[in-house]
Amino acid sequence: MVKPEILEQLRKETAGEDLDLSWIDHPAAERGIRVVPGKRGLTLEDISVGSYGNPPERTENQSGRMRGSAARSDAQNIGSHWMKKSESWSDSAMMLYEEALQRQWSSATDVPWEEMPDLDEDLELAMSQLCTFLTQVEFIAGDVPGKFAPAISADHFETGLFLASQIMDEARHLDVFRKRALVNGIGLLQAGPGAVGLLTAQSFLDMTASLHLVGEGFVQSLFRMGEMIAHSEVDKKIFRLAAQDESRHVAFGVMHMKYLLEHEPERREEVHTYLDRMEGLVGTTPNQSGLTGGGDTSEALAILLGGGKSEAQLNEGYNKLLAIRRRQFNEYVHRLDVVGLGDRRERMHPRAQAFLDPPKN
Amino acid sequence: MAETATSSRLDLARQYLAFQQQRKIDDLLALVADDITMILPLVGTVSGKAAVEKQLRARPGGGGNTAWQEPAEEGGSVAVTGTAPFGQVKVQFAFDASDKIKTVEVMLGGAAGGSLPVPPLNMAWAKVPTERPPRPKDLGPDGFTLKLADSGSYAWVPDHWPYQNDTPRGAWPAAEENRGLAAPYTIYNKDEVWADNAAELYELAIRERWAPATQISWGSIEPLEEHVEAALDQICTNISEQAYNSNQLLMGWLMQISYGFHEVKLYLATQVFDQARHCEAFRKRALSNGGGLGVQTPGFMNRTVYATFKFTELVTYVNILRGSFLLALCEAGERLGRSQADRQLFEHTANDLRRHLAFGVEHLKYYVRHSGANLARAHTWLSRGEAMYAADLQRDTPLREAFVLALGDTVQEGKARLKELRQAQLQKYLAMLDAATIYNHEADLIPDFRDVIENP
Repeated sequence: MVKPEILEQLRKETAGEDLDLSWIDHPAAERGIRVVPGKRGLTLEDISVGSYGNPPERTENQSGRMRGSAARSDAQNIGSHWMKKSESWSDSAMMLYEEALQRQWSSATDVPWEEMPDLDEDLELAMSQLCTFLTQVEFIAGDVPGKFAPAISADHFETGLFLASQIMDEARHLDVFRKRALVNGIGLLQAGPGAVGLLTAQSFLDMTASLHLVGEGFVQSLFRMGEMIAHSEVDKKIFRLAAQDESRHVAFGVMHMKYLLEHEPERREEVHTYLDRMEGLVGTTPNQSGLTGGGDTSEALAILLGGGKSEAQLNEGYNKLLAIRRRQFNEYVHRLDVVGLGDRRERMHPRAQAFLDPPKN
Repeated sequence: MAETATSSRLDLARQYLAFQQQRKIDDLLALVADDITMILPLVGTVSGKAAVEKQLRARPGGGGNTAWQEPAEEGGSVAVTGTAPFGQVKVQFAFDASDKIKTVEVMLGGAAGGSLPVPPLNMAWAKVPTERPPRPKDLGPDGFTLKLADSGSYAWVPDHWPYQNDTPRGAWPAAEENRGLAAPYTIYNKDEVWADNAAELYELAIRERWAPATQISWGSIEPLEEHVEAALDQICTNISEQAYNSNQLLMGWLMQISYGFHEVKLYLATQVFDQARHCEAFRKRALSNGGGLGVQTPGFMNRTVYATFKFTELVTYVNILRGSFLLALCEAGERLGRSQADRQLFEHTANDLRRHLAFGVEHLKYYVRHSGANLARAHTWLSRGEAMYAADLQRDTPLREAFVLALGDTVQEGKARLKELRQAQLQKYLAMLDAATIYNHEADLIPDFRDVIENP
């Protein structure tokens, strides 16, 4: 608190007669805060103290006022922001945002492009086709979070910050896979139907179920199998870097869904509906959005996994693709367990159930 | 009334599997309807007898080493499970009214391996006539940049992007019927988004990235006189709130921009990331030194940003107007800042804002040069932005007084320096407009805006 005599002195100074200073004299926001950096520097978690932490479960703030700052009596309502914390909150948002900042990488300089070897033409074609697909769909995972960003209250701003980091990650992915297709003499190949369907998400929960839990989760599983897919250290590095980013996105989505279901358990069936839809679409329709489920990308992946296009190589490739598919579904079920939807196993589309390992007792 | 499987349908299922194992494709095809649908786990859906015949002749599946159990009725269909070398298989048959097989669905489980119904080699995707780019050489210290990658036809950006999905520029587009959903993008014209420097700014932003948590010397902040700390906190609160407002809205615009202009989408991703950083970094500063946050803004500019109808309008408010004023403020960081941390904060932010302004200037220039009508629109937006910015400045007593207290050792000095700051902000704004080929704008300034600058 500023001593009244200091304020009085200021008002008495030359040119000080018109000073109001009521915002200092009677501050409406909490004062006396002195946050201290921790082992990871001064993080969002470190500054979540007092009235500046503790995002409200429900907010009436429609003015864009940052959490903890003093309100003006004449503040305007701007846009329409979600009132419930559970609509967008993820307990991991702060940590994941700070991690994203620390783990930024450059496709231009952190990928050793000069070491890119010449691959067998069929493998290079297949890699270029896979990258054509990936560069097509990756930034949809930037567009979709962006769609919901304006609705996030400034009282829950940490979610908005995380989404900005996800958008930056997806930009890098669009960029790196485009560069990969263009670096080794082939270029971009056949575009497919893409992933525009994800833009149909009608709520934040619809998004985290469809995009983060399912879409990004399946892509993360695929990237983690980069050692099997890639035929150069350059490609392995690309998959490793991208997988690292996807892990944050999946974690965010999982923790949002977990938070929401803990606070609004009556919405369980709603989540199942979103997953019913996604399970019907993922992997079993003849288009590329299914990734490993058919179409041009599947064939390209099979060639990469099998090491070529002979019958024996293709058979091996498709067998490995099946193994990837199994891994994708089993990791999906694990995520569902974390979210608190372990019962989903029994309700999954039979085609998806067919890929599952027996439940652990 | 629900269909029930008859013993003949169970027999038909047995026959199908037997013919499949024996590779008697003609006999198998006699069992199926003309409009048969086959769903295979690695192939997807194959529709129509001709397509199914092609699939079966290339890859019959159902190898002789699969041990089938007896077919069983399952809700109007017939299901058969089997054990193959690769694990469990289940085949579900549905029938039409004349007992022809109309659907065959294969579901897999168990370990991979063995004989699977893989599709015949296609590789049509490898034969599309897209350009084969030259391999990059001599990458240099900036590495394999977007500009290097997008060479030849990959670099060509059309005035109008024709694809309504996420088709990447330079890829061979899917046939219209295979292009999936038409997206909700609203921006297909280059002049609505383009800036020649977008690709370079994208890469530059990545090179110049910084992390407030670890790259600001937070420990260098020393206690200040309370009224000075309160003043700095108020300024930080204002910057943080502006950044969040700009950030939210810019994120919301990403899904309007079609994919022919990927450089712009990539650049904007860096700007939203920068703004997120500014929001949290200035919040951290306000909470670091015994103070707290100040008062929210009057919100006129926030509302104006929220209410934008066009992308260039948003860029005018956020990048040009706000950007100019914020940059000039950060460039006064030597005066405002009282610690190494403060100065670092202002320097890093200034660096980011220079990129935002660079994009804004190039985009606005491209836009206004495209047509005379665009120039008139730009003037409308500038006038509106100035009016709303002026409204904020006029009503924001806490911010005004905060500058007075923070900029000067005395009130008189503070007021004089605030006037200098406002002039610096105005000159920055006008210089940016000049660079965007909106010349001599000083004569067109909104009177209230001019007044609050000259009499802060």
